Amino acid sequence: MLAQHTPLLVTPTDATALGTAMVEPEAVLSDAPTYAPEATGALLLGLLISPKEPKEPKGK
Amino acid sequence: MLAEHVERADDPKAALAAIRVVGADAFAPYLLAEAVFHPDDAAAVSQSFAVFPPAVSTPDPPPSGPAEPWIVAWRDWATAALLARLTGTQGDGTLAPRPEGAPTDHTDWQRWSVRMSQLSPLALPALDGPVHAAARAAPLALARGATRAVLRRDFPTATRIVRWLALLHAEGVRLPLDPVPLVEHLRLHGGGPRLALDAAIARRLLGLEAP
Repeated sequence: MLAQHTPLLVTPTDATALGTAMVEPEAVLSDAPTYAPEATGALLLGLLISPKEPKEPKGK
Repeated sequence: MLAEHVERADDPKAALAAIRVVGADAFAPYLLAEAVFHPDDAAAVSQSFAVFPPAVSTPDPPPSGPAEPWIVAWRDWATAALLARLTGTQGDGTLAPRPEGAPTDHTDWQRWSVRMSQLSPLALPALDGPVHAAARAAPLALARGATRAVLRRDFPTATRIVRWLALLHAEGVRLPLDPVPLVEHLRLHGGGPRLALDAAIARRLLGLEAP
C-alpha cells in the first residue's frame, strides 16, 4: 500500500481535528420555521391585489 | 474497497483519517451488502489505528468525565470490534478497548437523543452492547429526538438518530413512528455524503434496498 511506504507525520493538531470530526455534534442553531402571525395580513393583501386569472380569448 | 481508497488518495494521511472518522460504518458494505472483505482492507483499518492511535485508557463516562472522548472511545471500539469479527481475530484483543457506561438516562430526551446520534456508527446489526440496550429501552425518546431534529432542520442529526430507529425496526421492536417515510424524506433532502451514507445504511436495515 502507498501509505505504508510514505512517512506519515501526525501532529497534535491532526489528532485534535480527528477527535472533533468524530464527535459530530448537532447543529448549534435551529433552522425551524417560526410562527409569524403578522404574515397573515401580507398574504391576504397579496391575494386581494393579485391579478385575476387570464381568460381564454373568444372568437378564435 | 478501503485499501483502494487509501491507495488512490493523493494524501494518504487524510485517507486514513477518513477511515477513522467513518469508523464502523466503513464495514457496512461487508455487513449489509455483498462486498468482499479483503485482507488489504483490514490492513488499511489497522494502519489507520496505527497512524491515529486511540486513547490508551478508556475515559470515564459522563457525567464523571467529558462526553467527547467517551463518544470517540465507543466509536473506536465499534470499529475495532467489527474488524476483529471480519478478520476472525475475536478474543485476541482488539485495537481499542470497550468503554464503560452507556447513555441509559433518557429523561432529558433532547440531549440523550443527540448523544445517541453521536453513537450512531454503533447502530449496525453485527454489534451489540450496553449502548444498544439503551436504544432498545427508549424507542419513544429516539422518535422524539428524530422528530425534533427534523423540525430544527438538522438533517444530519435526524438521519443519525433514524439509524437507531431502523436498527430497532430490523430487530422487531415496536416503534412509535414509521421510520420508512422519515428516511425517505431525509434522503431526498440531502445534506452531504455522510448523510447519504447514514440514509443508505438505514434503508438497508429497513429492507428498502436489496443487498
